[in-house]
Amino acid sequence: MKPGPIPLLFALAVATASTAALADGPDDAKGLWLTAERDAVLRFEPCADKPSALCGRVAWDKDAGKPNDTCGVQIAQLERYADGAWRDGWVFDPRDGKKYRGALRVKSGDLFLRAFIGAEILGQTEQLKRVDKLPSTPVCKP
Amino acid sequence: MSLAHPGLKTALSAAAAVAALLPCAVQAAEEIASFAVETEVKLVSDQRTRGVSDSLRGPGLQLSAQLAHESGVIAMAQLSTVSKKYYTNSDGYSLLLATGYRFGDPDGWHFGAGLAAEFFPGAKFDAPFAFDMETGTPADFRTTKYDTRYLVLEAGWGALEGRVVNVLSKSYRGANTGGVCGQMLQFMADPTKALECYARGDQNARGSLLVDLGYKYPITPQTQLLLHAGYQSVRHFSEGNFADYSVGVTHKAWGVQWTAEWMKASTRVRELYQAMDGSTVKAADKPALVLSAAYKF
Repeated sequence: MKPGPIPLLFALAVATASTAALADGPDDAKGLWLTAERDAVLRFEPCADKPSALCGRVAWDKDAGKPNDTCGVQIAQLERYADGAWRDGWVFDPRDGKKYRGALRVKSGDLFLRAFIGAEILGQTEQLKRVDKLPSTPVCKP
Repeated sequence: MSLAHPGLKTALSAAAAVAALLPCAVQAAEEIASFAVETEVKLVSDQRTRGVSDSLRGPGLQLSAQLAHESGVIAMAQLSTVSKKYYTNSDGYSLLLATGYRFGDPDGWHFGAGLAAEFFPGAKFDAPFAFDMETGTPADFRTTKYDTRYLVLEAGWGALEGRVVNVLSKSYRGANTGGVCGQMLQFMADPTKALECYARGDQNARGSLLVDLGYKYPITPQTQLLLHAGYQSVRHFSEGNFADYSVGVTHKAWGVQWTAEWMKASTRVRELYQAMDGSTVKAADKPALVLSAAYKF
């Protein structure tokens, strides 16, 4: 007899963190955030053409100046803040030019960016750390 | 940033890696993706299921593809190498197919339900389903395959995941009278327990329950502590009941998910998890530190 499986049926959606959220305000998401692998910094701020929404762009890229430089690329736009999260928006993957639904939360001082298909349960979360300034090199050209 | 940034690659979900592979997935840049497919290759030092080695404590390879649709429907296919000695006559791999539906809040309560089927191509064994007490010989030899079908129910709260799996097929990975009683007869020095097993008559394992509880605790954005406890209750064959535990750490670096887990299965009848390796008996339930490296492509 062989032991039964632990089917990975539902492994599609693995929340990498689910700490209980304290009530954070909509402004907490604004600023500079370093990706978990320390390869990019995203800047979240009110969208230029729609101040009620929150936009995210690549503010620093470790590959700045190289052919795969993504400095300045908009990677997220979230329309409204409700129930502790920026919602009703999208995140963008420049590599394949695809957009996914997105949600953004600040919990315990970290930023949790979730990209998902349909409902939030079918997605993945990236945890980002706040930084005060951009790394000195390489430099993203304006 | 292409997912030139591995970190953002994670963030931008399963779909990111796959869209380019499927022509039908091509969409206009402004459209929001309605489905995602994620593929992964994983190397393991020991291919284990519920803490017991499917690879008879040898290294293994796993390929998986998972699909999620915006409706909540999900599906997966997973190929894993298995030991031909442990899964007798096997082609050396198993195939797990599953589909289901998931809903809820990933940070709060979430639920899922689905069906799964596990196949072991070529794998089968002949074993006695009865024991003739008058002649003292095994009788009623039949062939059993390891293939198994499951009903899967899941409930979770945040990073705490619970799963209950019900066995729908008559045989559970080879567990039936021939598989359990026959294995005990073959490997136990004292045949008394095996004869007691046969005395219960011809039984099957449909209705067996597998319960799992898992938790992922984020240590850093790139590193998580993994905790798991499980229990399997084999219907009509309590000899196959056991609990399993694992504790480990997983860390993502260079686009690869590196994991080290200590796995232990507290089997009641260890002979059920043994196989001949040459002239020696090898235990598949020996605790082990399992290392793995997984790469999404």
